[in-house]
Amino acid sequence: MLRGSADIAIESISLSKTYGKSSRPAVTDITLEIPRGSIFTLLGKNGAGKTTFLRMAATQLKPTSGTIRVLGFDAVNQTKEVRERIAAVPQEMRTFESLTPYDHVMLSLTSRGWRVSDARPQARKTLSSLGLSPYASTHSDELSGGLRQRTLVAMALATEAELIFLDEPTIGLDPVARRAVWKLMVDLKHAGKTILLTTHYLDEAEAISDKIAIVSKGRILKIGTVLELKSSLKETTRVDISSGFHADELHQFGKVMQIGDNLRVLTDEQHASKLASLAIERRARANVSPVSLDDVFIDLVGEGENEEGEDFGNN
Amino acid sequence: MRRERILVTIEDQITERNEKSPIGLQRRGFSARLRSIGAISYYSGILVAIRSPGFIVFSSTTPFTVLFFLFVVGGSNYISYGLIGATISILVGAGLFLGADATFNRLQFKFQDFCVASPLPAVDYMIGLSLGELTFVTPSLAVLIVLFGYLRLITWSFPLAVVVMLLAWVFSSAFGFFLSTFILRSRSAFSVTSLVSTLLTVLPPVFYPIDIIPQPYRFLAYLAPTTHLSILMQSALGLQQYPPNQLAGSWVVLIAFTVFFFILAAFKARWRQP
Repeated sequence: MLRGSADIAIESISLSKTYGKSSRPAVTDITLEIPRGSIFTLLGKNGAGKTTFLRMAATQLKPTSGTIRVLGFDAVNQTKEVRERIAAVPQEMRTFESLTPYDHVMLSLTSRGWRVSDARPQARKTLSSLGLSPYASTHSDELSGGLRQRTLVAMALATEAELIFLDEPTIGLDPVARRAVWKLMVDLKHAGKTILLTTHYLDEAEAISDKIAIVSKGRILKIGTVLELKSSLKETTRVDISSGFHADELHQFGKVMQIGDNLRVLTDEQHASKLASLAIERRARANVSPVSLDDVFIDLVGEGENEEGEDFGNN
Repeated sequence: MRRERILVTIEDQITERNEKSPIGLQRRGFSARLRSIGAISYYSGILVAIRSPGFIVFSSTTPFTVLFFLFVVGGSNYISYGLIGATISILVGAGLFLGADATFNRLQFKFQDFCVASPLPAVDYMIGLSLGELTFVTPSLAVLIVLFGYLRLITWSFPLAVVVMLLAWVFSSAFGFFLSTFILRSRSAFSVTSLVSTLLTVLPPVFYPIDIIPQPYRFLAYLAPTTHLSILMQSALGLQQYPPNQLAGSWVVLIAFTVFFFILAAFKARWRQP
């Protein structure tokens, strides 16, 4: 029985989705609660099922089974009520070439029924906060990929909807632009809005998320705050070694991973200290640091670029 | 009377509350819906036509080409039929071109998904797009109407011809939009809509009178809604005399087609993916 609590923005129970005649479900049995006024991130590789979950919550896609409530309303049968309160930037959305960033934000607002007199200052304010003011009147086909992506984000953020869905919104943005988007998301959270974000950028998830769900093969493997996820690893420290050791001789210190040309050892502080001393004796380069979200992610999901099969969520 | 007044007051209060509610939560009153439709048509049509006027020429190329050939081959005999054919062809083409645009908006720009996750209903999106498409063909329609006047085809019954034009636009827009939501590949969008446009405006008696088709095959022509558009326009502009029962039948068929496709587009088009 769903509660539809006032503190919960999204609540899903045993939510599953299988596309058409596909034998492999894109999302399987997802049960989670996303609190209002928070930034919740779905973190996973390409094809993990992040987009499919987001699209079901954003009323863009019907689930195969299970239940999902958004802001207290059934996202399958009460779409009108849900849609009045949400905004979403789909993955791989593109700008219209003959429209400017200002036109795009105005289109977003006025198509939602805003009066032009209300929409104008809101569009200018949003463009300014995303550093788009100098390009407000430039046709989108003359903008860089990053500026176009920022324009799309502005279209959703300007709406000040209660719940905003952003599907990989910072893809293609430079570090400065990414931080501008992050700041705006955090500002919106402080204004009481909820943001459901999908990303495969671990630093992004770590920087702004109140809670993170690590998704793989359509299932949620772990949910928690960054600290909770990090503390779920029994190792506390990592040692990155660039030379002077063979993987075989490092197993005695802890869990060994090959990261590019380097070796990474996940271990406790005592073993890390011993390994660091040994590295100094051998004049090898070693870097000791606390475990990161990256380590948790690799530990849970494994390495490799994509999940098996495809995530058809954006087709 | 008093009950009506109370109802009106309650409605006003609801409207006022909706209009004054936080902007992100603005509910969909009638004026908000009009603004939404206006926004879609302005940004998808009017503004694009102003910034890229080449689209206006492109959207009228085929009908005016057929008209030109009719004039060269048939002289002034068929020019009036050609003008009617061009009018229908332009309006039906605008509606079907909406289908291609809506397909691109859905598959390439992901704009439909953006709209789905917003208060904008599918039917308002469709009306907005169709008004936008109308922008591109308005100059051509104006030229055709001037030519109708020049050939003295505008009489007291011209308003009937305008109603027929409106039905042509509504039916083809609804059909185009419905079709677009089922097209799976954006590269198919133009080929599918061009094929349907040819089937509806070139083969049936749109640019020529139905009498040219031998009697045993005429029933095939009557299957196309554009045949009825043509019959009604030819009658309204005084080009052809048709029996009253045939005209009545054409009105019924045309209205039925329009209502059917509008309902299909409003309720059965794929707005949310299954």
